[in-house]
Amino acid sequence: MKPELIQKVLESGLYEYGSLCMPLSQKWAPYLNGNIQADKLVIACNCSDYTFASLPLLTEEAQNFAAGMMAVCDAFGIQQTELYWPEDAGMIPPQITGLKMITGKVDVREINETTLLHHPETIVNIGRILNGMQPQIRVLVRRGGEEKAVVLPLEATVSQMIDTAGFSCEENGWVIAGGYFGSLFPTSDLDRPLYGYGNHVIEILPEKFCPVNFAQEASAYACENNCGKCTYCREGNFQISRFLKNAVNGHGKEEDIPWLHTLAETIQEESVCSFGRESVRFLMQTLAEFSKEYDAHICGKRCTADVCQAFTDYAVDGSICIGCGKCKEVCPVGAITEPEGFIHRIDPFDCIKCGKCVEVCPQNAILKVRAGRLIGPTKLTKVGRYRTSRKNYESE
Amino acid sequence: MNTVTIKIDGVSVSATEGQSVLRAALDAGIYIPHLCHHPDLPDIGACGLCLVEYDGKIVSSCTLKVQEGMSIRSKSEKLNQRRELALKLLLAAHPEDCSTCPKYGNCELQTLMQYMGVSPEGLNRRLKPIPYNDRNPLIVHDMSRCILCGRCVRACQKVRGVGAIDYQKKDGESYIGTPAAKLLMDADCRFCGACVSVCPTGALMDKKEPNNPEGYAAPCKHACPAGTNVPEYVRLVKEGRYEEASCLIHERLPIPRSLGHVCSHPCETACRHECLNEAVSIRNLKLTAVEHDPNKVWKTHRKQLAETGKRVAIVGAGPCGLSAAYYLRKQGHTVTVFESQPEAGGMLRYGIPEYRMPRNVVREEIADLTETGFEIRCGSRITDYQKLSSEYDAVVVAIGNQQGVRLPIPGNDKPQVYVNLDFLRRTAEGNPPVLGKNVLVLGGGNVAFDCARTAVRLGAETVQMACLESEETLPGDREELEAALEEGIQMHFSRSFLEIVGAGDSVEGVKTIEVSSMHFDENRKLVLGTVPGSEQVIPCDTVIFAVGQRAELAPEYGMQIGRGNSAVVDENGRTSFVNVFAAGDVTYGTQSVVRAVASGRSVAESVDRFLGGNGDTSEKLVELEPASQYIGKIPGFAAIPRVHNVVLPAEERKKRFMRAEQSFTCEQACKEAGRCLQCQLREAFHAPRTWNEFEKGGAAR
Repeated sequence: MKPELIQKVLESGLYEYGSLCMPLSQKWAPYLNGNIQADKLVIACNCSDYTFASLPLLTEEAQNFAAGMMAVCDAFGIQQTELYWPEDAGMIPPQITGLKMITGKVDVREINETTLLHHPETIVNIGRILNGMQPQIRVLVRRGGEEKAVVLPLEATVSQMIDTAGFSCEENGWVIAGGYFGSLFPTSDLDRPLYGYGNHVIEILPEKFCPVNFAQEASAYACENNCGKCTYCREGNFQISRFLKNAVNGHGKEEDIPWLHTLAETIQEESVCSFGRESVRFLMQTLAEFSKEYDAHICGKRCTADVCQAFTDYAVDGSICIGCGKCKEVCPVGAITEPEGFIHRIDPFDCIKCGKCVEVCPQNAILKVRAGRLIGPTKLTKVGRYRTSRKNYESE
Repeated sequence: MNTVTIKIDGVSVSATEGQSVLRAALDAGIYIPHLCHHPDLPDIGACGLCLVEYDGKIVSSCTLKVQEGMSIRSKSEKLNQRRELALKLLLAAHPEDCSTCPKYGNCELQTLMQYMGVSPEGLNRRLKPIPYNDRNPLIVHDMSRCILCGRCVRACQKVRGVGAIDYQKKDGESYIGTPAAKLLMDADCRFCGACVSVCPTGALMDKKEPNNPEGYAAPCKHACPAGTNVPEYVRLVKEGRYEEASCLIHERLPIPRSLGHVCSHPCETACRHECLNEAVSIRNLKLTAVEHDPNKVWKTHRKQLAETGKRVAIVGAGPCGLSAAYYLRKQGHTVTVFESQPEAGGMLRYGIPEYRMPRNVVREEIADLTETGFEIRCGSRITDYQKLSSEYDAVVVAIGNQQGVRLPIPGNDKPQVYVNLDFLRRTAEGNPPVLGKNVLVLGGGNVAFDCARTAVRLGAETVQMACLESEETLPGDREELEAALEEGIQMHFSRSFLEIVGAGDSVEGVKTIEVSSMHFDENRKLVLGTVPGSEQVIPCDTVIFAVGQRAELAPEYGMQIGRGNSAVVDENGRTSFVNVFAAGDVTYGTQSVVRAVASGRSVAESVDRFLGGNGDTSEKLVELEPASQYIGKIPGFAAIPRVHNVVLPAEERKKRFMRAEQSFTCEQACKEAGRCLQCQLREAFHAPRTWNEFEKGGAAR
């Protein structure tokens, strides 16, 4: 590659994809100034990229990908190029001559300093720059069960991405940028670029959301997907996931909180690879910014957002139940047994908290209450014979 | 390699360039706790124990390379906390009870636990849901004890290049094993045992099997009475380096070609490959090596000490006497061997039939030995050892067991009743006794098979064998039994002999009774249980006793005689006469050629010491590089079947005394040697040093 082309890439200020994103000028410095001779180019999704959102770019922009790959090889005198293709990518890998395909995920520990490791999207962007185009970012925006992929210029802000995808945010809601390895932002603070946060996934959350629950999901993901080699990441994430599972299930203990802090801090500082270091990013952030939520789950046994089902029960307001039996019909586990004309009651031991009864109740008489709180008549009672205000029972 | 100087906790330490800080510290006697580091494996910095402070950061010392002038801290409060957390995390996922673990007392995790004094209190303990797995031969996996240090993976992948095991993931639990939990055999494991050698805990253990002994790497080498370096010469044969293999073999065996034909191969009996399918055909590989050694370089390298002027007489030119003579001669003594028969070789010449032991091989090998300059006087029978000892500085009695045993049953002295050794000797002399049509051999050892198969070749119409032992407990080799059956020999197992029946001098049969049990009591006396009413006469007209043999020692010359007419010797092989030694079968009863060779060498060392030498008969006939630890992957390795020699069909064999087996071709030898598990490679692994071996520096605590 001619010096002016290298210059072009460096001047564009392109960043490497991922959590540890750094400008290519910085990443390439030891190779460009001749300290290290690179002998291999490895193109692979990094460990935090579990959605493979950018892999379609390899076929959509095959020319740019090939151009980027060739350019990097030329620039550093590299003969050997490998592409790691995840088994669960759900796509057929592109066929490019001179590119060796390896099925599976890259093991970053096997990458020594003479190997240049790049994310596929970074390679596509290098190709775009050389072909006179703007570098782009491919992002998955999610809300509830919906998901949409959008492609935008690199410097596009998170709010622009959400707009382009056609989603909206709640005024006081939250957004997680970067998936399980990402960071949490209030919807008022989205005028920021996305790169640098885990993977390219934006998760839009409602106003009431539970950071403990999401941290628990993230730690379970980290347990499932770590390589299992280093103690801190493997065992530490296991312990975190156990502590958080206990927390959301109402079995947390006060002394778990200092453990969470110690483990998260140690994993972040001592893990051998970026997967380990990034796996606790969300936990670290929320332990600091949402410590009240952790206290509430672990010490107070409640979930402010009503997300963690261990802390809530469904119950029938006896003062408005008309004994119509609709809830009884839909209950999949037979937790309601009263005959018609009598006030219905939900057995909290049988209830699986599916919420079907809430949907069918014509009186909106079924509500969520704090777990263990008794509501309604304690014995079989005819409709209309029980009067108490429902205000007393609404969960805090 | 350049030397660099670094500072660890203010102490200057010199290290080799390229070394890790941990290695430099350990070499300098400074202990830093570590677990996933192993001296023979590449480091990955996984366990989180060997942390040190460098340049304001906490890093793993095993992956930190030394640099001139760097300054390291190995002790601080924060380092302690980190290390303790790592160990706590490991212990939380490790079974609590050490006392039930087979590695108790040898476990590196346990020593670390003692050193750091931590327990996983407060953390969530778990027992990993990985079942104990003893479905594989040789190796037991108890991966609930595994701490995922990854040493076994590095040993298998990086050191051996096999890659049978790797990190695996199931239901969120990391574990080490084969892909898709396959059997090791199906994962192309080479059963080298490297993984077991480097495992710090009780997760990977050697399986307790008869052919998987503890305490030494290569059972073949250990089982050989002569201590032949079996795994090394097998490797050389595989690489086609026959000349070097022959040198290596000659370091321990003076007559390997003869042994290549008739050795009882205790090495094969001990071979670990038996646990996979069949033992490696070691005897044939040895024969291949020495048969393909035309230049006999080993002769030019053999040692010859200066003349001592001492004279030694050796009685008996069998394997033991020749071995003693050879080694004593090379120690510089003047040696004369007295042999009663017209030719040297002992049992190799006059006992073992020619179809098993070609005579020219014996002659050539003896000629190789006598080149060193000792004399064999054939046809001179010596019985008065005391008289001989007055004429020589030392005497070695190596006369073997030359007298066949005639069982004390009625009719045992009829003319058509022969005894094993007389019968075999006369056949070997070319003067076989006249046999009847129907021959019955009494006995079930290898000598009995020699008699029976010789009788077949001499033209007997039917040959039968009867023995005390059942088919399963038969003392003879399995190959001999198979060959005998092929040659039409009929077997009668579990029979005891009561009487040789027949009018007058004629033999009409042997009356036998069925044996229900047999064992030896505390006085080594045989106790037989028989089935009443099961008497049966096996018809025959010639009987050959092959029920053992004993030494021809004459009591009238005053030498102390022990059990079974054997010579009584002390631990140096010395008899009741001050300068008379004895060795071989005459001292311990009838055994194998290889044991006789070893015994002859051992007595030569005693005699050498007695005559003022240092008793060291060892010699280095070849300089070898250490075997490569990298053995590579071979698909389906463990299932490769044993190579069998080409053998003449039974009908052909029966007609003549020629050797029936063909030696291995070079291709066959290479293939067979390639089956070797190379157990000896495990010897090269160093034991990691634990904290109690260090004087200085406990970094933690």
